[in-house]
Amino acid sequence: MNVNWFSADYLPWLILFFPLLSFVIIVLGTIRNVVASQVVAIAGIGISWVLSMILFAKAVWLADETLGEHVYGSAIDWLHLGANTFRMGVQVDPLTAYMLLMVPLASLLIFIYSAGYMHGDPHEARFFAYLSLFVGAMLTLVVADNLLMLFIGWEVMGFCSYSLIGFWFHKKSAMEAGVKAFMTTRVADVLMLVGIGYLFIMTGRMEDGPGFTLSFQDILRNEEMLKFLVNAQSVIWGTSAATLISVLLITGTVGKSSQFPLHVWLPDAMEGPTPVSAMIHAATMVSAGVYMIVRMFPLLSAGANFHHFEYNTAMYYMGIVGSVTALGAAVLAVGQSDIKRILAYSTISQLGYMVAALGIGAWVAAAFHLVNHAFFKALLFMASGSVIHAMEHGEHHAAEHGHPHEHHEEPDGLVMDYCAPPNDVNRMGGLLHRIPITAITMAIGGLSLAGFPLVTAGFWSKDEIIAEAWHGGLWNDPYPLFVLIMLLLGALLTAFYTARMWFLAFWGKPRTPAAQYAGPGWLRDRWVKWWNKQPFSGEDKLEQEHADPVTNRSAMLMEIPLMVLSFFAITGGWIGIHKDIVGKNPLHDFLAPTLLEHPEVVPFDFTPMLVSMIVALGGLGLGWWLYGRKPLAAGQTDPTEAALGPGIWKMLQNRLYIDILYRNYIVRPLERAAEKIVVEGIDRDTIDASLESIAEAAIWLGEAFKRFNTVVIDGFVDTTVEGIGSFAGWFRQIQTGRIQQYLLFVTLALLALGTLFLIQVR
Amino acid sequence: MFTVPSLSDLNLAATLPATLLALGASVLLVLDLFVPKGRKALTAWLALAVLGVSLIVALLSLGDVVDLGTGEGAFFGLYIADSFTDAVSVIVLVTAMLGVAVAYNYLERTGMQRGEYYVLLLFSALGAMLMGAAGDLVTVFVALELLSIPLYILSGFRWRDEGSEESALKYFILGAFASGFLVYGIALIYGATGTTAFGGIWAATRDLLAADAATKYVLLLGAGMVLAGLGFKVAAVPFHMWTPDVYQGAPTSVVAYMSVAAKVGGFAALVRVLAWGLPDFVLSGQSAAAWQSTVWLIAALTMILGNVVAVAQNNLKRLLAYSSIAHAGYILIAVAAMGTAGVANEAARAVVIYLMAYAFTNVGAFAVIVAVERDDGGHTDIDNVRGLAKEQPVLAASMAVFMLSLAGVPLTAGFVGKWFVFKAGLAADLVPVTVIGVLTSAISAYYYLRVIWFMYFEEGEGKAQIAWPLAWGISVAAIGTLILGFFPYLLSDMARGIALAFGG
Repeated sequence: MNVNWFSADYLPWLILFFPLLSFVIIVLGTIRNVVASQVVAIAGIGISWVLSMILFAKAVWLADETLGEHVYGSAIDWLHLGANTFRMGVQVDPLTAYMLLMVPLASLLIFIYSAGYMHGDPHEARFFAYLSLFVGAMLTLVVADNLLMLFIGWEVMGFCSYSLIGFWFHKKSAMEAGVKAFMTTRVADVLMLVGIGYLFIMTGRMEDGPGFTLSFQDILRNEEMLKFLVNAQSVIWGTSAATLISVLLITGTVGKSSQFPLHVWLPDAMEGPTPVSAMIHAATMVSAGVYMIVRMFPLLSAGANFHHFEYNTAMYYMGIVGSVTALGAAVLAVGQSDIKRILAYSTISQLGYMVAALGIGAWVAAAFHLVNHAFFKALLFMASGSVIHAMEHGEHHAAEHGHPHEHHEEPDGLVMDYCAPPNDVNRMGGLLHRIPITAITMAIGGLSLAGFPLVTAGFWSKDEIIAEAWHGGLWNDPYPLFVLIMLLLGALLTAFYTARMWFLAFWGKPRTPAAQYAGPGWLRDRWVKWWNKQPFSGEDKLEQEHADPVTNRSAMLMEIPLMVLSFFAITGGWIGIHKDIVGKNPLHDFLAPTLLEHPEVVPFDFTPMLVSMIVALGGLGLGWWLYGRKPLAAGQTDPTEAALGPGIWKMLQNRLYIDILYRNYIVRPLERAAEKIVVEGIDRDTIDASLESIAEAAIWLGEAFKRFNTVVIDGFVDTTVEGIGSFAGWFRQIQTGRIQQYLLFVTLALLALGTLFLIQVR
Repeated sequence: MFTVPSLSDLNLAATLPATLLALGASVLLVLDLFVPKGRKALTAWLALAVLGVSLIVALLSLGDVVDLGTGEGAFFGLYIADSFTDAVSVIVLVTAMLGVAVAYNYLERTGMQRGEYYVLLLFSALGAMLMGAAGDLVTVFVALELLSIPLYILSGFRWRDEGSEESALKYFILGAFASGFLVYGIALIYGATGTTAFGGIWAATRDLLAADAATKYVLLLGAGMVLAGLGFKVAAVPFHMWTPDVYQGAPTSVVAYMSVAAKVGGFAALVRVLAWGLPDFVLSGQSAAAWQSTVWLIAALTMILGNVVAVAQNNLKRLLAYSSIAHAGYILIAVAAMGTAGVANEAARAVVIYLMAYAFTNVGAFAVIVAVERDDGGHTDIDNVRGLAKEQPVLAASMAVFMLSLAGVPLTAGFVGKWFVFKAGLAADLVPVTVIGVLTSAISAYYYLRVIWFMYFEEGEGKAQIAWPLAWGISVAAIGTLILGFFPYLLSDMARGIALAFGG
């Protein structure tokens, strides 16, 4: 076989190989050496990133319109199954290429950031091992050319998220959060696996079809196959096979991408180290869920004619779940005071936008928002990590400066409304002057999230989703109208909570000693110099402060990735601006050939754009009005809490009691049932009891053999031993008599076998 | 009138892998006399070279790169050269090479470094290869003795040690007993059919059944005896009783090789006899060959006894002995499946696939024990691997791979082997015994995972001695186990050319 590993057909193998190799090297070799592990991990993802860029460039510059019809890819025979051969392989079509632009880049930056953030953790090498495996699995999923390989990556990621969320396993809350994430996504994964299995069976039933297959090319780009699946009856009466499979697959995404009602695990996932949160929320995990339904969209939308506003069950399912999640999570984000939890709900809400976008057929917009979101959300999470890091630093310094160390009781296990002190936005304030780089980059990320008009990436992708919903809603069809209203309300709240978070954290005066002595961030000395020269600084002159070089280095490692990401959080959206504004929409033209039926561009309409501008600016303005105009002072009640009243505020902080509902009515009864039925009934009373009776039977049999031994064999030995003479004496010494027993046993067995033969012949 | 056959009639080219090995072994036997005592590494290297050359030829022949006269008989039908022969040769030669790598340093440090070791190993490998190539019951018998007698000697190689001596004697006596059965069975089959060649037996069986002669009972008895004789070699219940004692007493490097080689030889001969000679021995009113029900009964007993008793073992060598009994049971499912018309080829492929997977895994597992064992032959209890993961992470990881493969966890070779064997069982409608196979392999997970648990989660000193030949052996075995698990295609492709049965 002649393989050119650097041709576009084989390159994907290398892209997924290097992070996995790093994992193996770290686990088997460098686990005790932190620096070597960092180097190995960053080198692995770094090589992967370079190769991905090469591949992306190839896909963009070398491919013509036909990339999509003819994908780059290669496969190996994996398993012969009867007449079929199951092939495992990789493929690169425009969608994969677009994902490869985002995943390795965001991951690489997260790795570099981690080297700063995890500095001094005793298990840092293990951390990098898991991160490498995580990325390797995500890349496997992205370049997979069939659903089974995608699912393998999917499951490995499930494991990695479990072990990374519970990375600080000595904390009970972290351990519980890991288990919660794993179990919640498992529920969905099982249903998804059923869907995959069902799809596999159905493809084999098609006459003149490709046989049993899970390959994307065979299923998604095969009109006959899609038609067959739509027309085939499923096991559930009244639904087609395509519908049943779609619903099962989408359920997999509902778990993985944390959609209502399986969204409960993601807010708790921040119990893991912050780079993990960035990883889960941006580059991997939740993106994988949306990527899967974006990938499977031709199957999910099979039979629907959404250009003419006829939707099918799967699309209704996505649209309703997505838009409910988009608004619901945004409402919850308003009521949080933990900076990471605000961002977690924001992620859930933004993923809801993507799922809802697919529900109304806005395929390109969903992929567009997926990648943009990954960039700005990775930025926001890593910035929040930098804030937390600075706050923790501040706690120590506050103690040195004579402020008594406040003692915080850590709860035992997960508690809904508990907020760790360094994460609490109410305890921050004025951090702009402590960690200026973080403050500015986080503002950029926040503006992108809020959809600040015309400049940011978030605006263009969100606007495209809203424009498509508007386009559908104008036809007075209640379904797209419902989606539109939910998404617009969600967008308003998004802008509002983003502004709230930023102003509470960075604006005004420090509200606690910890905030006063937080940081200091990288380049703070320059910021102070610049600030003191400005006329508006007035009386608020800042003091220079000496930062020790180790802290400075880790701050630099953490803040450089933020600067890189803020570039993408702005410009990432410029490639997808509507063609009626700038003349050409390169992203749409590039992605469109992925689908068999090229997606249409909705005609440009100024009204929805104006509406989304008003919504974004309105939300940001409201946030500024409440939190920016008069910064919150220490001890003051949050204005939103005052406006909503303590009842609703408490309800929001307790996440609308959904988690408690699950715990009391699903988890606890299951645990009890498991205790009663499985442990006591099945395990102890049935399995253990029957095993014990087998053991007793074995002992009884042994006794019987022993009797047999003493009576028959000893008798045999007694009568023949004299005749055999001295040889037998020597013989018995080393044999201890047992070999006769063996031989006798064999003879008896042969007799039994002979009898069996005879009976059979009869 | 007897004429002296000319050399060209023998079709020597077809037997090239075996002939090379035989020549090499004989030459090495003489050469070793001139190798001075302290430099037996040379003998080991030469043995490896002989095995390597033979392996290359066998691989070329298996891959149809060179045609050595495949499909034709050699030595007037005593030797069959087809894909099955090649596949068995490859398995045996790989096992033997790993066996040499495992043995060298072990012999050195336990003071047993003598050149005969390698020569005997080569001869017994030749015996196992010939069992796969047998076209005649006489070849089966001679090959069996050629396989067994060196193994008896090797078991007693640590002759100053009572345990080793006892194990050799036990193995010898029981083996002689088994050979007796085999010869008696061969005689009965000859009596019933008038020939010892499988082709002749197959043809005679048809006539016998057509004529409904009473001699068919003689044939039946003969088949049963042969089954019993070969059952000893593969350690099937109720002929398994030597296994734990011999495995425990014999030097571990011998066991690493023997546990696989004897099994490969035994199963190869079983496949030849049952699927080549007696596939159409179907008594009136039955749908499958007469021996099928007995074989699957033995398979069920073997799996149950091997797996259940292994649970209670605390000595690693004994544990793997019972595990090896249990694995004989799994392979016997495929052997039983050969009795159903139309499934024979698929089942024979499953046997070969399983043996290949088993060869890497089991030699590797014993090699890890070799590393852990002390110079006095002690220190082979499960307690002695406590904490191995801390002190020897790579060694422990390899052992974990072997244990997972033996338990049949996906992405290891063991899973692929089990998959094909169970598939053959289902194809032959042997549902109950296949279900027993699945259930008992679930039981087996307990004692395999227990080893992993001890290595990773228990505290202990976890000492091991790994010299580089042993390290290479273990690495090759572990990588082989993983590669075959990741790419099952390699295994099924290796077995693809096998087409055995006359009738099927």
